Amino acid sequence: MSEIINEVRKGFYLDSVALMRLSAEISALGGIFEAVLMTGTPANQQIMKDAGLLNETGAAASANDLVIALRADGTSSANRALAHAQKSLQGKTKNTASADRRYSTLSSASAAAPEMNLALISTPGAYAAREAQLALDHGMNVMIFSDNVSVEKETALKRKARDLDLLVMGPDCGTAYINSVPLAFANAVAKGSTSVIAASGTGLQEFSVLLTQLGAGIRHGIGVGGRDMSDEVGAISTMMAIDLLAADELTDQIVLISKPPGEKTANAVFEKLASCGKPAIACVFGLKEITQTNIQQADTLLAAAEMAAGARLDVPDHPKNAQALVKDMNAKRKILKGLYTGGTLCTEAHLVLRDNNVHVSSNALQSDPSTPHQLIDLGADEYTLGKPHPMLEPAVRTPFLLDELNDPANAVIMLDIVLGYGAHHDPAHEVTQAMQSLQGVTDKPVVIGTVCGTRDDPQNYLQQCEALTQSGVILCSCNSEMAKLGAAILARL
Amino acid sequence: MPGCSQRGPTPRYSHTRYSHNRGSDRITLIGKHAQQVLKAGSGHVIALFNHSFYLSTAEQRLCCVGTSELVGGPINIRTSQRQLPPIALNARWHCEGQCLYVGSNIALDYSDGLIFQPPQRLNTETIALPDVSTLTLLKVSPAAKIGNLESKVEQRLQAGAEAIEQWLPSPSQPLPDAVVQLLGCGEGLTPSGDDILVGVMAALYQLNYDQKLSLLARCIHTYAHTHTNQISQAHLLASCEGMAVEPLQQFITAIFSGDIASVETATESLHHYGHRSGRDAMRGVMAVVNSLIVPRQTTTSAERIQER
Repeated sequence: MSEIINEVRKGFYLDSVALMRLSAEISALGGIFEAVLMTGTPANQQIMKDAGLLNETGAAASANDLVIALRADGTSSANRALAHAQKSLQGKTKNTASADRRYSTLSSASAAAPEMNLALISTPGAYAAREAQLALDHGMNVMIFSDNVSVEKETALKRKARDLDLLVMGPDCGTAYINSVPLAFANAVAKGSTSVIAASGTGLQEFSVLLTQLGAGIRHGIGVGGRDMSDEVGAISTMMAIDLLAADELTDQIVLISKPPGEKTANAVFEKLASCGKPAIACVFGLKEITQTNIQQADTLLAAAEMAAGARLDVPDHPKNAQALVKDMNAKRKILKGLYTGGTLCTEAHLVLRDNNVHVSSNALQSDPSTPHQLIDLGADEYTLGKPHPMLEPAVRTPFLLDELNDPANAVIMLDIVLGYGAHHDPAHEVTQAMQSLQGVTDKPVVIGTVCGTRDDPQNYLQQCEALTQSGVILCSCNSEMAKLGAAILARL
Repeated sequence: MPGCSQRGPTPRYSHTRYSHNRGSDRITLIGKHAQQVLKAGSGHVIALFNHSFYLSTAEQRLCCVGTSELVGGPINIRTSQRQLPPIALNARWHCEGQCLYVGSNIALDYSDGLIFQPPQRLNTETIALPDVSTLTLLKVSPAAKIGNLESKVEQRLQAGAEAIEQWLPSPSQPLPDAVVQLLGCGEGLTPSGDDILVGVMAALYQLNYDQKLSLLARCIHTYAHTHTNQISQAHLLASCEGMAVEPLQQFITAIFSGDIASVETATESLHHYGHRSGRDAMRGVMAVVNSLIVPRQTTTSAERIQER
C-alpha cells in the first residue's frame, strides 16, 4: 500500500540545481519510494502519471507551476517528506511563494490562476461595483470590503450573482471566515462547525470570539452587508448563504446575526432559515419575536454564542460592582457616553441599554435625540470620510475620548477595543494615553471597556487587557455585559 | 568578444533617485529579445535566483538580468554587478532615460551596453562534418541516475531526438508527435526536451536550414505557450529565430570547424551552461549532426548542406 502526495506551487520558479537537489533529498528520505519536483507541463504530468506519482492535485497544475510529487510507504512518511520539501522551499525561495504573487488587474489574476473563486474588493466605493462586476464575469464569488456602494448597484450585483450561482458578500463587508480562514478584519478564532450569516464586521467578530471562549468554533462566517436584509435588496445574499450553509456537510448549525429585516423580506428569510434542515439561531437586534418556533432567538451576541456552544460563559457579575464604582462620584455626573469603533457592537449596546431602561441616542440606530446619553459609532461613514477607520487608527478616537473624559457631566464612558487581523497593532495604547489625563483627578467618570479578541490574535490579548486595566479602565467580559454595567452605574447615581 | 559589436545610443540621464549608481552599475551586454522587452517600458519581476532574475512585460515577454557571470544570449542582460542587490519578487521595473530601474535597489545604465549578436552562419563551402573522433568526444550520455521517473523522461527525450533525426532529411513529412512531446518534458527550470529543441533550432539556423527551422518554429509558436513554462518559452522563441546562448553558438561553430581542440573547449563550456541545459542542447545539435551523417554514403557533405 503506497501513499501519493502532490503539492502545487503556483507560478513558482526554482533553478534547476535546487530542483534536482531537492528531488534527490526527498527521494532519499526513509519510506519514500520516489519523489520529484517538476514543472507541471502536460508532458511532465503524463510522465508523473506513468510513474505512479500524480494525483488530482498535481493533475490540476499548469505549465508555470511547480509540482512536488512523491510516493511513500504510508501517510506518515509522505507527510514527513512533504514537510521537508515545504521547509526547504520556504528557506530558499520565500520571495517566490505563490501567496506573494501580485496582479494589477482581476483579469490578469484570473488568467494566471483560473481556479481562484473568490475576489476581495477593497477600492474606493465609486469603483467597487465595477470591480465586483468584473469578478463575477470571471466566475468569482465576491467579498466587497468597500463601502459607499449604492443600494441600486448592490441589488444589481447580487441579482447578477444569483443568476450565475455566485455569492456577493457586502458591500461594507468588513469580516468573513471562509473554511475557517479569517478575511479582512477578523480574529484568530477556533475552527468549528458553526457557520454564521451576519451583516458584517464586529457583530461577527464578537460572536466568533465568544464562541471560541466557549470552546466551540467557526466553519464559515458570511458577511452579507448591512442592507442585504432590507426590502430593497430582498436578502438575496442571505438566502443564498442559507442554501450554501445548509448544503455544507461540515456545518452543523447556522447562526443569523442581523439588524431587523425589511417587513416584506423578514418572513421569507426566517421561513428559509427554519426549513433549512439544520439547527438555526437568530440574533436579530431590535426584533421582539420570531414566529418560527424552530429558530432559537438570542437577544445578545453572548446569548447567541452560548446557544451555539451549548455552554454558559463564566461571566463575572459586572453590575454588582456598580455601587462600588460610583460611591465617591460627584453627584453632578449623570450622563453615559459610548465611543465605539465597531458599528454592530454600538447597536447591541444601544439595545441592551434600552432594555435596562437607559435610552440613548446614537448614529447606529434611530433613537430619541433628546436624551443626554449618547453612543457614537466612530466607524460610521460620517466619521471616516477622508480619515482612517478607528480600528485601523485608534488615534481617531482620542480627541473624542479626551473631551468626554473631561466633561464634568459624564458619569460613565463605554469603549470597545477590537483586536484581530487588520486592526491596529496596539489599540489599547491610545486609550491608556488618554486615561493619563485623569491621573491625580478625584472627580472623574468611570471608564468601562471590552476587548474583542482572542489570545491567538496578532496583538497580545493579555498585554492589551493588562495595559487597559492598569490605566484605570474597568474591563468587562463582552460588549453586552459592558452595557449592562453602564446601565447599572446610571441606576445607582 | 564574438558577436558583440554594436553600441547603444548616447546616454541620457533624467532620473535623480538612483544617480549614485550612474557609471558604476550598468548593463554590459544585452540580447535582441531582451532589448525588445526593455522597449516595452515596464513590468515586474517574475522569478528570482541567486545570480539572476527574470523581468516580464504586460504581454508576458521575458528577459533575464544577471551578474557579470551571465552568458551572452538573446534574452539575457549581463550587468557589471558581481552580486545582485536584494530584490523582491513582483518588484516593478521600468526604463527611463537609458536606465533600467528594478524595485528600489537596482538602477542599470544601458546606454553603452553591447548588443549580443546572432551567430555568423556557416559557410557551406568550408564546412566539415565531424569525424569519428569528434563524434566519440561528443557522445551524449544520459543522466547518471536512472530511476523509474527518470527512465520515463529519458525514453521520451530519446524518442523525440530520434524523431528529429529521422524527420530532418525529409521535412516534407509531418512533424512527428514525438517532437511535439519534447516540449515541456523533463526536470529543471527549462525542461530537457525544450533544451533539445533549442539545440536543434540553433544548429539549423547556423547551417542555413531555414525551411526546416521554419517548420519547427511554427510548431513551437503553436504549442509552446500551453506545453511549457514562460521562462522556457522565452528561450524557445528566441531560438526560433536562430538565436541561442553564446556557448551553444560557439559549440555549433566548433563542431563544423574540423578543429578538435576548439570542439573540446566549446564542449566543456557548453557542459557548464545551466545544470543540464547545455548537455541537453548539445543533444539537440547532435540530432542535427546525426541526420547529416546517416545518409553520408549516398551524398557528399556539400551536397547535403546544400539540400536546404
